[in-house]
Amino acid sequence: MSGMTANTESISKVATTKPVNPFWYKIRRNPLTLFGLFLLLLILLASIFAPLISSYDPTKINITQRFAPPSGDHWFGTDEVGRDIFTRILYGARLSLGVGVAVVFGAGLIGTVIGAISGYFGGKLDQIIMRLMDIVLAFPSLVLAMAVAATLGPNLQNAMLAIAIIKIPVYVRLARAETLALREKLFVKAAVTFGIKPWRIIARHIIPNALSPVVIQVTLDIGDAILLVATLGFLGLGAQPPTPEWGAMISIGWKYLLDYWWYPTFPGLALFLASCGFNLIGDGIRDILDPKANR
Amino acid sequence: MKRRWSSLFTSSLLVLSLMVSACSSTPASQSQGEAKPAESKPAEAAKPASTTPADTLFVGITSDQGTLDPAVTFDNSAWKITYPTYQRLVEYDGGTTEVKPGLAKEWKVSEDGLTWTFTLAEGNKFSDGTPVTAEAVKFTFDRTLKIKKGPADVYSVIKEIKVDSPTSVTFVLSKNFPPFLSTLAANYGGIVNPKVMEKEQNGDLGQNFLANNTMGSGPYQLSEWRKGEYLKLTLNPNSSVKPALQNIFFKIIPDATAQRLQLEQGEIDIAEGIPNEQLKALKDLPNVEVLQQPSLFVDYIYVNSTKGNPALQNPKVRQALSYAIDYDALTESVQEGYATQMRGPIPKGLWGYDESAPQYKRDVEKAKALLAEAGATNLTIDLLYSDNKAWWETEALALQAFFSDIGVKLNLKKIAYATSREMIDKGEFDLAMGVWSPDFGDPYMFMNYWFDSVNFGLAGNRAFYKNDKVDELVRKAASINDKAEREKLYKEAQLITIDEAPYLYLYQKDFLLPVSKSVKGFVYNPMLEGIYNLAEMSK
Amino acid sequence: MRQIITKRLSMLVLVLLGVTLITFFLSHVIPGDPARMMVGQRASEETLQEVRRQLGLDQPVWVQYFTYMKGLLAGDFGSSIRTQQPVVDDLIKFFPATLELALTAFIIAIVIGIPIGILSAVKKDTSWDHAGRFFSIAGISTPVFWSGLIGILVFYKFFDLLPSSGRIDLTVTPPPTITGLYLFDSLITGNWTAFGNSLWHLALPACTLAFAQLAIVTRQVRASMLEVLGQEYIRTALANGIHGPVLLFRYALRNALIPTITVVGLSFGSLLGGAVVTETIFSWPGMGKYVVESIAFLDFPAIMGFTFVISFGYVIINLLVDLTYYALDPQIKE
Repeated sequence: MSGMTANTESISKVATTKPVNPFWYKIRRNPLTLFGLFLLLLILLASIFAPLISSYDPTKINITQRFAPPSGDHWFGTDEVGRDIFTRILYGARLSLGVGVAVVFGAGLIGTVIGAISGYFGGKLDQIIMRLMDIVLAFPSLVLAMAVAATLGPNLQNAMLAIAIIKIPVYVRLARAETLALREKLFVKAAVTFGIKPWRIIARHIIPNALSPVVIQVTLDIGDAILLVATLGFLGLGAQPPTPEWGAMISIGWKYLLDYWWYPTFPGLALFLASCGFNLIGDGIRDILDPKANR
Repeated sequence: MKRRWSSLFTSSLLVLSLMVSACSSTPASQSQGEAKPAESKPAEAAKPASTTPADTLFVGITSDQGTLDPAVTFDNSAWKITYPTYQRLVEYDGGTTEVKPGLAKEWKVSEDGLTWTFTLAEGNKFSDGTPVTAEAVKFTFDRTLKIKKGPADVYSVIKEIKVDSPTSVTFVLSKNFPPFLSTLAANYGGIVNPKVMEKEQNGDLGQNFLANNTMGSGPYQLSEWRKGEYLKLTLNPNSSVKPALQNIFFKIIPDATAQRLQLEQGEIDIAEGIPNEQLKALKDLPNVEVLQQPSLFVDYIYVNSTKGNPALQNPKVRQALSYAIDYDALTESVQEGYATQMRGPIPKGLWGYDESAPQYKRDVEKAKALLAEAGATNLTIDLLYSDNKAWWETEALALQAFFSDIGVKLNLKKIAYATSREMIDKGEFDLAMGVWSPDFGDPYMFMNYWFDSVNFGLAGNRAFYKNDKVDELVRKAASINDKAEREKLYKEAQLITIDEAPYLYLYQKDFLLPVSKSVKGFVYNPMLEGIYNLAEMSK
Repeated sequence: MRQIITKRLSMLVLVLLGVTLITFFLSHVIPGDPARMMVGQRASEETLQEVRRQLGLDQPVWVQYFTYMKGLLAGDFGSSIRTQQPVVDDLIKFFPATLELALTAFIIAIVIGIPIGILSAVKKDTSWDHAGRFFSIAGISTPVFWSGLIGILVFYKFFDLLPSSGRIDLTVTPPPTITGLYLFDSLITGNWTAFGNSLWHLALPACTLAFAQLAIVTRQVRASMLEVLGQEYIRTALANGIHGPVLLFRYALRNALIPTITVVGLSFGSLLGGAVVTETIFSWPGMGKYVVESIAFLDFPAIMGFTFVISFGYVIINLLVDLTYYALDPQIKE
């Protein structure tokens, strides 16, 4: 995540001192992407400075303060054991964003490596890997995630693992397709004739050049991963209490909706904004990086 | 080849677009009410009737049923279908835990408690018109024992059943078992029509058929079951009982919010799936009332006394945990106050309850002192629970806070229900949450199940608690028929088990049921939780 | 062509075999014992063992797997532990409801998504484009369990326009089963009451599900439209004075639709799976609800049956999409 902040800081510098970078120029021309960026920055800063923004403890319960409606003391009200919902959303942001990013980066990395190997070597190995991926893809994804999480025990790590598993095949396919094209390129053929070892070629030449579609997919997937984590949390298979995870909060708060509307509403809104932020950025980056999408 | 594919493509697109145009026009035609008479009907149905027909009851339930065979099912939720469709030799009397004559008009038990003879009342008929005879009674219990599933376990004490005459049947038991009569009033005592054997497949004794159908002599029969949608009961034409309610729909609505909204709109008359937190708001509605009765359903914590954290083997540590809890705050935050703190294992409302027994109260200093005496400082223990009960989450958080006040760190371990049962059975936990409700109205259900050391694990003694004196007392109480003497033995055992605290005795829950004000005549029986006396109800 | 089909079919068998293998072992590794769920918590050890024996759970896992596969080859999915019914019967009862829901959602997503996508492409980088994209992105960013509940609140509680649960009113007789899809069956038999009523029940859950899938359609339509609009022949057409709707529909849209249908077709599988949550919220009597209840009960045969059917559907759709590709463009080779 820190990379993101560094980049945005550099925008302003770039804009004032150097000629305009076309990438940023395009992003700035696109208000939706800017809005997504703004949303994410807001959530990110709020979660980083959570202890400064709120003086409450996200897990400490206070039974006398149950279901307090939103007020000056509790901006988003309190939950069924008297915890401040605003504070829990702030701390939950660390978790949801961190998990979403980690899962997708992990799946992207593993998937790309597998895909590059599969595409580069081809033959039997390629066949086996691709059939395996077909099998994973053929599963109803939510059911596979539920089964994995239920088998390994319901906690956050296992939920992450489950989501990573269902995300990997997409990256394998993307990277493989790119690799098949790259393998025919001159510089790769040259490397082969020079006797450079296959592993080196994959690491030095194939993967770096196959990254562009993977990056697009990663940004598009993070929003989805955040929702999946929340869905598993909602089904009781994700983070365990008293961890302030958004999905788990909605899952409990949901049955109070009619009487204490604020309880499920605000975590739901946070979830929507975070997922929306990533999706908007992903859409924007895709628009810019994907040559097909440009006239 | 190419041509054929593309034409297939085009035609499927055409079909799609047709369906689409039909679909997208819906909302408009619904609200406007189109000119065509055929289409105006659904628009009328759109307005939910504030009152459903007076001879039809709509009950909102949370999930679909599994098997409905009384010899197989051990799932209380199935009993709301089977109980009114079968009859038993004896029945629970109104709202009490005592039994009254049912199919049997009278019975005798021998001095040694081994021989029970029942005389059947005449005129009871199965829904196909076949009379209920002693043969049918023998058939029912023989069948249950042959099927060897959960209910067979309850009747394992039966050695032999003899038909003396068409109206007289004798049960011979292998040992004296005082609660026997009470077990006959439970759901698995429902007498099945022997004609079920005509439906037998591959020697299953009709299990496949009875899983989806009923064949009893109760006032109702299952007439329709649309899976995932509803179950419908209609009258048994051959029953001598003539109920006011002609049709009962059990409508499956898993989501609590949806159920509550339908109750508010008058679409259903009874809503089973609404959590306590919402009941206060429901009470304010003009057309809904919330029935409230004390129940025998208890919520408690198993403290693993032999296999968990070694510190818990010391009774002083277990007492300290018992003293740490603020029981009033707990019932308030977890059950909205709709619960009563337990005194000991036997709940209020069942005979054997001891109102003079000591009761734990929150006392942080005493708890800390007990921990210090036991040398258990910096104690960290796990609490195992599952999503089986919605309130466990809150309860776990509350306990975590109470224990931290006495310096005990409680780790919460929430796992899948099926897994949690497995771990409890093997004793792989420190503390675990549980609920218990009796199958028959006898303190045996609590004292023998919870404390007899032969019942280690899920069977009942989930604290893995062993005390020779307690074993002796409860076993003796289970072998004699003198009720006063039994009560004395159980009270003595209770005092020991309260003091040694192998369980944290939390509370007995109130039975709460939101019903439409038009529903009349429902009687709650603590032994028949979730079961309706449909034949006596009206609207 | 035949060779390709044979090759793809053999791969299909391989994939399905893998799916059964993984599901079977995964579901049997889950700690928990369905026999215990069945006999009740207070049963004795002997009863428990007896029920395990009756269910075949006392056999080693691989023996259980072979027994299961032997049945599967003969079209027998085994019997559900929870309902004691053949799983095939249960699935036949629940599948049409899920299919009807998913299909309707799919159609709604296409009908709304294609115009939005076209608009976005034609008016690229205007506020029309931004609004359309934001709408569809809002769809994938909203958890289904959330939008569904809001839908019930608004349309059932406040406006009292749409029902909150079920496929059809209890008082309306459903059409005779031909396909099991109420809309289709009632249309064929001319039963307008049932048709209107089931359509009315379908509206809210289908729209909820469609909203979550909208972005898949709009993204693809927009991208393919942009690509097509940028191509030589369109520019030529423009240069020759062909403008506006004619150009758009006669030339551009037709060429943009084929990749769209492919991508969207592939997403139909995930739509079937995504129906799980929607069904729970709307009390929709489909397979999703069935499998959630089965997972809670560790009902292995039911879980296996569900996964197998969904995977089978996915693989078949995949195959059809591939074959369409071959049929449309014979140049494509593996």
